[in-house]
Amino acid sequence: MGTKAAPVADIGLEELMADPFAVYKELHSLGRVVWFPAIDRYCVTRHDDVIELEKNTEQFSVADLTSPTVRALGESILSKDGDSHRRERASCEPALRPKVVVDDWAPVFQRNTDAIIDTFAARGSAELDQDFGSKIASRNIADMLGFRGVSEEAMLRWSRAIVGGCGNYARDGEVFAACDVARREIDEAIAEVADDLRRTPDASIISAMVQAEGDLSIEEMGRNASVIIGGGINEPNHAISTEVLGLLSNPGQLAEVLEDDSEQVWKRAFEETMRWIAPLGITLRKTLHAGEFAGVHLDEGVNLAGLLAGANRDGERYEDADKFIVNRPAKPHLGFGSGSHLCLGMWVARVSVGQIAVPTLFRRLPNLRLTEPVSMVGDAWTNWMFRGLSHLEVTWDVA
Amino acid sequence: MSDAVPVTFVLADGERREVEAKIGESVMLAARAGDVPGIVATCGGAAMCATCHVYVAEPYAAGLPAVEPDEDGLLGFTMAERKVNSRLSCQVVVTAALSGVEIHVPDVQV
Repeated sequence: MGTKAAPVADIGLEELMADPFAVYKELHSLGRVVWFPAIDRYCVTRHDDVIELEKNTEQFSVADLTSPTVRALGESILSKDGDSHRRERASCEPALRPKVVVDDWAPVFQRNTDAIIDTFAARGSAELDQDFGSKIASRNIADMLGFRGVSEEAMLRWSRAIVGGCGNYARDGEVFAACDVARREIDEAIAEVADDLRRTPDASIISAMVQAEGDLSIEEMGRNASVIIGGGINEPNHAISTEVLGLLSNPGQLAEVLEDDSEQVWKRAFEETMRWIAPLGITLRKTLHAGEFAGVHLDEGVNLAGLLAGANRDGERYEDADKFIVNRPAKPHLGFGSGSHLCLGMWVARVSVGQIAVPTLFRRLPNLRLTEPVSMVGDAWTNWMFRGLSHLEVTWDVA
Repeated sequence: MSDAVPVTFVLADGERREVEAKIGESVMLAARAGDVPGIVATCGGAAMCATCHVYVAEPYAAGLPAVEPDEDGLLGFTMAERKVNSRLSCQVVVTAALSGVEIHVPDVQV
């Protein structure tokens, strides 16, 4: 079996923007590795190949010093491999391990969730992104970092500035400037709490970083916090509205979930949400040397995209892959990626969204329903790379 | 002394897989090198995902270094039941003392 050149996808960027899952399917049908000129990358389309792409650190690297992510955040854990990645990432991990998340943070998440629902419960309707998802994710992440005095509005502004900077392929100077302002303010917020946490540690992420061995610099802590604020708000927010949409669009399944109302059934509903519409669509890599991968030849230094969201709809792996099916046979998915860059917030998301935010919404808002039908494509959806609803109107009964 | 020892993985359906496990590497990597199904190891060995859960047969389990706090915390989040001989295979290092060990793979990891 010899290696050959990758097939080429004659698909426009506007098609990807309009209906990413249709494009992922087309790319999948073209081959395992497909050159996609519209995004200037080789796309890895199959589930097992994406896992190999993330696992094989001899052949593939996340380091791409030309990417806007590096301009926006400096060399953060997102763009480092090997020991320095390991060291910086490990400094945050104590606050993000499941036992700490459940024992220390779940009560905080529950309190935050109830307090935010209190602000709109009597109204009978809400727009979930603005009224709930972005607020709850902002509050939870602020508390987890140890930023007690920082408002949800500031967190959201920082998050948007960072996400904007990381995706600023057009290299718009104002977008990077807004990101720089956010990073400076984040550094200031860390400096405000760092000394206290050095003396009196708690379960927070900043506390874990100031207590970590090998003294992280304020720059390293600031970069880590920026990565967490960038990824820790958009994506849980999107997961919340996607899960609510999945359940409300499938009344039979919703009735079963609500009847059961167990930790296990909510776990399945959340994992299926992450499989169905992964909040992060792709994972980026660069080849470290020329070689063969999944049957095609790749030159040194070429860019790849592992299609996380597409691989989660791989029809060879999942039956009725496009459908939201809570009780499908449990199989690992790529909603959190895999390998050494596996989502740092995976357990936080599982608990704060999967066990708390979404179940509490359904428990507290009787007869929760969509205010109007929602199309699976179109303006209600954000861009293809960070997939989620930017707008979801819901209604419920008030006594 | 050889630099690898024989390890037998017993799958949930009873199938046995013999693997030569390299001394000094984790049991998870030995399973991966031997294409043993049922050990998912999503995080690649950072003790963050709890998907490389195994049961180490006695008397070998009792002879292993004690479970560290990070592994202990994660073992509360495995899908298959935690037993007294439960370990995360990414945290168990292969030594000469493990020669001939049976390692049972649970039926679920996620």
